[in-house]
Amino acid sequence: MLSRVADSLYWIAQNMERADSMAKLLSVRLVSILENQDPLLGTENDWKEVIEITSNKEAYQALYTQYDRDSVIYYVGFAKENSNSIYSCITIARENAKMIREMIPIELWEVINELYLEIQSFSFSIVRAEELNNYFKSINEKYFLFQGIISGLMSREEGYLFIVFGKYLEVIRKLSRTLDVYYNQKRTERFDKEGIHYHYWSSVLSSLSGYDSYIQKYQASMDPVKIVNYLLFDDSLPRSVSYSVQQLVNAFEILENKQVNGYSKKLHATLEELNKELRCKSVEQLPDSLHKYCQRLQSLCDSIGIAIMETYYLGEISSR
Amino acid sequence: MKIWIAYQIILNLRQVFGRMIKKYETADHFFDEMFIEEDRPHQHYQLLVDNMSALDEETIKNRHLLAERDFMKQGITFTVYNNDKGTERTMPFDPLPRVIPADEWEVIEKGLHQRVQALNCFLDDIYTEQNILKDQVVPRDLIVNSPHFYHQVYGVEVPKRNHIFIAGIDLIRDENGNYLVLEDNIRNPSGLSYVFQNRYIMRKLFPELFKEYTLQSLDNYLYEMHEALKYIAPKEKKKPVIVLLTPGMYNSAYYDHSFLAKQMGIELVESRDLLVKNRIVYMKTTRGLQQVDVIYRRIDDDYLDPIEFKEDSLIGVPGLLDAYRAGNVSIANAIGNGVADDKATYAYVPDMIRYYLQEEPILSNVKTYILSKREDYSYALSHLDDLVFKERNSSGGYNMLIGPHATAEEKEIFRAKIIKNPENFIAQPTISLSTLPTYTKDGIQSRHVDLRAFVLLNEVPHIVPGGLTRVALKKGSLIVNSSQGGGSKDTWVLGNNSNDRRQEGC
Repeated sequence: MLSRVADSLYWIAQNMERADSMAKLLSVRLVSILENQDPLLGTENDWKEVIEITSNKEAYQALYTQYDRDSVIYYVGFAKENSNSIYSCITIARENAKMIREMIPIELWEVINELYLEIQSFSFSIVRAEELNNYFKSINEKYFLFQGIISGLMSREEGYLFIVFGKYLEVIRKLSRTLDVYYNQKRTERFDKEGIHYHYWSSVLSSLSGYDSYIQKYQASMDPVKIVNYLLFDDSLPRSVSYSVQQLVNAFEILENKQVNGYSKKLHATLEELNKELRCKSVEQLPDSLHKYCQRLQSLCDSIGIAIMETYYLGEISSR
Repeated sequence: MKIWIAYQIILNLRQVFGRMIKKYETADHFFDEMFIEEDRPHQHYQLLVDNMSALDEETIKNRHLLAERDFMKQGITFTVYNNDKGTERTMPFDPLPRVIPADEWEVIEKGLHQRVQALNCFLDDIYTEQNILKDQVVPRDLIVNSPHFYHQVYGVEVPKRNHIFIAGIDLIRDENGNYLVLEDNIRNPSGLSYVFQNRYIMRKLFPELFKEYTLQSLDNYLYEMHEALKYIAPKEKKKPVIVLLTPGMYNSAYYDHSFLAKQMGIELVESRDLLVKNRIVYMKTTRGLQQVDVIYRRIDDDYLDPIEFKEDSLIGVPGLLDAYRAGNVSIANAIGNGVADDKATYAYVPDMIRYYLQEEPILSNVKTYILSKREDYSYALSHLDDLVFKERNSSGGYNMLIGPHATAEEKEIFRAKIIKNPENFIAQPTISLSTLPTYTKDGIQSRHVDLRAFVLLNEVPHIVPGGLTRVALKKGSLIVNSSQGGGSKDTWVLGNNSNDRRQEGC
């Protein structure tokens, strides 16, 4: 397929995934603030975490002096000057969808376009917490529609595989970044207080869409080790890192017809490296800290992203 | 008793239809497609009248809205530009179709067949030996001074000598119902997608109207289109890579481009997806550069290659003409077709038919006076009040004089222009467009229509049954152009029983 079209599909998938995960994070955060009683868990830290997970701290600090609810929500959800805000991501997805409108199911174009139009009309400044939460929920809903249309309507050819690449790279990135921030050793004081402990980890699960399925498997035991293992290594969770890595590896196999040629060697090697990281099945078996592990995952995702662009001539095309 | 009741019912149904036609005026000077006289439709429309009577006004109105919404949702729009701002509009669609009986169409088909072949021969001749000029059938200066005669392609071998891949021939009917050719469009004719969409929408929303009609099918023609592109592959390549080159989504006819590319299963590309290396055209794919063999281009000649034509063109492919000359890529329609579809050459098409095919034209032109000819010049000047004068190489209604409507002063000015440069002008009687019942907010009324027939040239011409019936939605207006208030209708060509025709049942 045309590189330009593959490029657009890849970025649509990444940006929609990013927008949805941020909306989810923000809405979970909003609810958890209401729940949380403990004054020790200064709200500033809560909002700082959101920036650490979703954005660039320096970029934020260039614009804002503190980490408060309004500033963070605005920056992450609506700021045009933040190229990774929900607003920016949806705008990028829509622009790309518009350019390849005839290549995707019409319903797919429509749902992205409708989401974009909704965002245009939403005014952050006059909104209360409940309305804000509804807003984020509607993004989640449109995202599910988006996924459903792809799953139900898109032919499993090259285009679909580039969507898989874009989506799951973003899932892995976001998840490892989120765990890294939440599990950060400096915050171990959180585990001392029981009530907080439960609430804290159930928020982590909710932000990563793993709460319901985790509860079914492990009941209400909010054991951080169990939770982290679940999110990283459990193949039954469709948003775990190991499940996502499997999707990437499968997509490569289908795209390359189960072969590895000269031009796809680098991508294959990097995917294999990522796959190897999923060999151990528990954080307790990791050779180093969870922090280092998460960093490694993110860095590998970046390398894979670059390799995909090079192997399939996405982005700026230069002739050989 | 039963027969009498049935008869009453039919009468009532016809009355219903009749009531919907409020004050349907079959005007004196125009040919009405449906009615011979008020209340008496042509035989081939009788069924339609009966079928229409099964629907009431409210139903038609609702379905009409559904059709609009369907078009909008699918993005079947064209863009109208006003001061650089583009608004997307759906092509207004009217649910009352034009019906053409099989024997009538057969004649039209033969005429179109002949005409397109002659035009193709003409183009081939003009860009090589120029025999028709040497034999003085067509004046030399008419061609070589035409801005559409591209010396850059003079002598370049055209695959299978098909300069025309698709032609849009516009037909009208005079007051006696004779079909006349108004215009030939052989550069970049658009509208074919609407032909298919109109049929699709009709079948979906107005299935009752088709009852007991057998129509000639459109189904095969997208395949024929693809075949015609395959046919001109360079060096007769067996499995050529074919693309449709579009200026992009901001072009007003973008929907047409994307529909056809999608339906033919060929890649829709923009110039940024292509590059030329070593005189070969490539497209940029995820697997690297892939050679392109045939380009169905919807970009005008002037913008096609910034190296050879307009250098500020941002939508062209540098080096494309070079690859074309090298015989490594085929371009459809060929470069330079404009020389055969301007107003003055139009007047000579009947002569082309006689010259190349040794046949008499089956379809006539609208009577055209070529003012460089002595007799035409005298006649035209002495009938300034009755004729419409057009300047060559003008379009869009500029540099025109509509005799019957012009003031004395306008006529004097124009007369002076003509006397100074007679070869720059042609004259025609005011054209008549036939009328057809059309659904308006004042009920069903007569509106003027024309017909754009689409001809594909493969080894032989293939004519799409019917084509696009364009309707001037404003009362009395003769302008069917979509950007100026025109809409379109489905066109039905009735099937005969010959075996070599594919037919759609109902």
